Amino acid sequence: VHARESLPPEDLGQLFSESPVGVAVFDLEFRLTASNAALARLMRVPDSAPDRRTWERLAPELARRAMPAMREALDTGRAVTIEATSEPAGETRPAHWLIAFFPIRHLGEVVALGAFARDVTEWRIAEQAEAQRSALVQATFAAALDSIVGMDAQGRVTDFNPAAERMFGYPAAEAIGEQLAALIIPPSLRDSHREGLARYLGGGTSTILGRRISVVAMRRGGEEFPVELTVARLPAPAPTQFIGYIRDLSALQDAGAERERLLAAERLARASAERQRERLEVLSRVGEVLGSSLDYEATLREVARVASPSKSDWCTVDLLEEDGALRRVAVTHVDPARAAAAQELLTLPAPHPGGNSAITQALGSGAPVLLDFRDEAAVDAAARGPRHRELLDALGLRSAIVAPLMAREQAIGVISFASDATFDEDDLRLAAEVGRRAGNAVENARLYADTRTLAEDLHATERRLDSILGSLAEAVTVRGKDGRTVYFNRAAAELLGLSQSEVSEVPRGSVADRFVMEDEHGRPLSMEELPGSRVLAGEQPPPLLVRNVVKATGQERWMLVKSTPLIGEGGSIEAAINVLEDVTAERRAELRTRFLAEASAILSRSLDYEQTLRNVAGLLVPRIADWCGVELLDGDGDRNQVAVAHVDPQKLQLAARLREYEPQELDPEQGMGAVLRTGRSQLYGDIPNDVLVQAAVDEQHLQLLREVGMRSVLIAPMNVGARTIGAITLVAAESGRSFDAGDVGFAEQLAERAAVAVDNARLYTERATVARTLQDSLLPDALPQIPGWEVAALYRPAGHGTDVGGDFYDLWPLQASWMLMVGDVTGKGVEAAALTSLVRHTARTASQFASAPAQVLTHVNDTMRGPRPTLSVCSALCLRLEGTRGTLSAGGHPLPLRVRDGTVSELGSYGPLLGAFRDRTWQDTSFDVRAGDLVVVYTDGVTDTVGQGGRFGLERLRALLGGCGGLAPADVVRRLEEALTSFQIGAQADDTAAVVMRYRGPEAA
Amino acid sequence: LIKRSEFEIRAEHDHEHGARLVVCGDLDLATVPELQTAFERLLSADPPKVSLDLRGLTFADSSGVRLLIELSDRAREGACELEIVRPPAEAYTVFRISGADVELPFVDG
Repeated sequence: VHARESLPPEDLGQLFSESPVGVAVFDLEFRLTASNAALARLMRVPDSAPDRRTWERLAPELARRAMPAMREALDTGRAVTIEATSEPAGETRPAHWLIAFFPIRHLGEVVALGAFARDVTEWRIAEQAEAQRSALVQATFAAALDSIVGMDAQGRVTDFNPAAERMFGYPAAEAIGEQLAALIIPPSLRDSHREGLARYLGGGTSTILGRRISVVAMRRGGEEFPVELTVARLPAPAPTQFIGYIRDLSALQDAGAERERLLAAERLARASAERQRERLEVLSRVGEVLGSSLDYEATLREVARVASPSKSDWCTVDLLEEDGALRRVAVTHVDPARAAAAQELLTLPAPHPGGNSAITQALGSGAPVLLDFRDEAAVDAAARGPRHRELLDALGLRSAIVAPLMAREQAIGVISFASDATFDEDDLRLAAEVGRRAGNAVENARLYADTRTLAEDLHATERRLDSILGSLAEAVTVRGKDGRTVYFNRAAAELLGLSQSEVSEVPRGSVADRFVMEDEHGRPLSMEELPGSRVLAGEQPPPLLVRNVVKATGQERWMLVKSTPLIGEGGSIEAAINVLEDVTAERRAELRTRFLAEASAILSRSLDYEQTLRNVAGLLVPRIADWCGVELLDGDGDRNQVAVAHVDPQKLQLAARLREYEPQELDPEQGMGAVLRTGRSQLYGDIPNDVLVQAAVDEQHLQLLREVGMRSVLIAPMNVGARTIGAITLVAAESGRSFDAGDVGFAEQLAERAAVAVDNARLYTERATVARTLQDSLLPDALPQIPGWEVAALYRPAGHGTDVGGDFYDLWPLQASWMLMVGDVTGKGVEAAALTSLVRHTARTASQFASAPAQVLTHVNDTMRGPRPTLSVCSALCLRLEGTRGTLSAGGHPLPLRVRDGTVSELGSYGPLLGAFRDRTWQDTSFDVRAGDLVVVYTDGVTDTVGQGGRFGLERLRALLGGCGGLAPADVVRRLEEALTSFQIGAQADDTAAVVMRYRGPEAA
Repeated sequence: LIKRSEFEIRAEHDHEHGARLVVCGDLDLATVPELQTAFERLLSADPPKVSLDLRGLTFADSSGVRLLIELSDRAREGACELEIVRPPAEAYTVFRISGADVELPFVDG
């Protein structure tokens, strides 16, 4: 109107019609007199000039809101701006308009009212989405388990979440605004941090952005600790800002190092067990040879052959003659090509024991000598003249061992080993042992030769026998041909736990009743199976390993029993000579090693650590100790006995009564108190009587202590790093054994493994509780009522542990429909729960803007593929119900089943897992429902349930649902749960969720 | 008590085909860590090519799928060519459900 004065009308018309802003002119009665095309578009009317009726008809709410504003504009003479919302027919979302009304003046008079209108719907939606996204970010920021720290281009802290407060020890208020470098980066790394930042800001590349890096961070107070870090830069056009996600790895690294250390210990123990076994094998072969014949020279040649440690090339045996000269009785060489040189060595005069040779040294000291021929001087000393030296060189020897043959603590000869490899201390010990045995065998053979003549009447010559055999270090028994034991020497009596008086009083032959004898596998042995009986029966039995327990005292010994026949004049077997070798120490060492491996396996098997510790204690008794107790410190530092085992269950009571005498405050200088304080073991190898008397509080206590019969006690700390979380106590009583340094090492290793297992289990349980709580909070409290539908849900959380699959379901209303989401977040514990929360809320938010299931999944996928430190994936199924139509989309999720008239069909098609892949899309599939239809959405926990015949599987599920016609959802859920429970074997491994819906029909809507 | 196929991993090396892991049994929550460890150990030697033979797989669940996605990412990071020999139909189902059948480098054995 105003412009008509100066502008041509067509220009004015063009100004209006081309304007992107809706323009309207009203007369003073608010009748629409002019408008442009943009307004028509705004109004959703096809013609270019909406009249007043269209205005009121199309947007009654708008008109209502507009009227007062128009009046105000006229009354005040000023422009009035309003924001109005309208719901244009045929559109799902409301439209937002911004309208400015202003008076139009002509010559100072208000003649009309103008309006500019603009559609701001997109802005508003964007604004809301932004607000929701920022709320989501805020929630994630606050609840994240990892530290999230923001930094600006100047290196100042801009954000500091609660996890960061906990990790670094600064309140956010204190941290924000400070230099990040000074706050959490160790001094040694600050320069490279600043340089890296400057380089990046100066246009250089970053070595950090978008990667997972391991680095060291610093807590308040200066403690440095390992972290994993991911840094992202806020995308342009935001101001330069970096966000770091920081995960504390210190616990993880400790656990890694711990495992490495345990593995190394394990390997060491294995290697030592292996050596032990080889050694036992050699000794047993030697024993076998020694026991096989009384021709000791032939025997020694055989010993030389079998006793050579695997790396030794040749072996000689020399015996000391009556006149003090040495006579060589055996030479062996593994390499036939060099046998000639070895043969020549044999023909060289034997060394005279006067010279300072290794042989004379061994004979004189009774101890083995190790020679190292890499040393020229040693070669010269060992050589007996130039020819001998030549031969040594020809044989290419690098080291040798000369071990004395010992009999009754006298050296009666030497056995020598030489090799082109280098012998070590272990070989030396083995050679000494072989020398001792061979010496004894020679002596025995000589004695047997003497005793042969006495075979006619053993009873009569017993005294004579004793004078010969009595002082032998080897335990020897003799059994007459009637099978009765007629003789024990002192060593045998000791080994068998018999006092001398008992030996003479024992009614001969009934001695076996006093023992429990078992073979190495714990199988009881009868007298007939012992080598002595078999020798008497004319057999040639191999040596037998026997575990012998004295019934009266419980004393346990491991013996290698060898038996040789004593042949009478007529060639008949007159008696069996048994040599019992005490191998208790070796056997225990072997058992300890095996035990550790077994215990490790048990410890890592279960999370119920109290039961596990009871199992381990049960294993320890009686193999290692007669009595074992495990105590753990709880959170308050109080001791709790979690396991106690006793070889004799009735004595458990004694143990309990003994505990009553324990003082409230432990003595920090000794016993349990010292172990818990220092984290070091305490060994009481042999407890003499006066110590018991001293330790006793009163007479009754002393009585109790004696009854228990404690002989040796070993307390080992259960250490995890520098913490002591408990202790294992081993007590030896009945068995008569006493613990030594070998046992300490063993007990410490065991206790440490147990400690790590307990610690892991506790940590795990804690995490499991948190995870469970979180997950419970993630499910809707109650399912909402959907018009026309009945709904029931099944939810079975995994049996135990923190490997929570993170199953969830959610059901919520949209404008004219309902959305159901069922999903499964793969991951662990708290992280899975946090991710579940993210997925659910993203889905709910997204569905407000885009209600197509495929679009919802796309949004969730985009969110999950954002900057997260680890691969997060989730399977989900989104299903929208709208009257008798359904739309669904699956993301890596099993397809829902529809049951109609007993026929089960899968709905929809497979789509990719969320969060897993780049550039994937999802498809919507529509389906229809009729009254009585069941729709069942389930997670793979249902079909993956493990049972006798394999997995539950889709076919079983389909068969079950096919028979559910006419059942209400709650009943279907009950049937499904019963079927799963009866099918399932063992603990439930994964979460299981299912939502069952039945359509009642439109009339109920 | 529980009748389940014994889970077993065998590492094989041959000059022609590079490193190879043969996996048998059920790949689920319980056995995933074992395969992960074995794979990481194999990868630590920087082989140019790794073959994961799943022909002996009797079952796999979603955690198995997730692991294989992770392993395939790890191999890519380490510039290692990975091929996965397709498991039998029953164990392959979960890969089809998850859309991993087209994403993972499956080959026919």
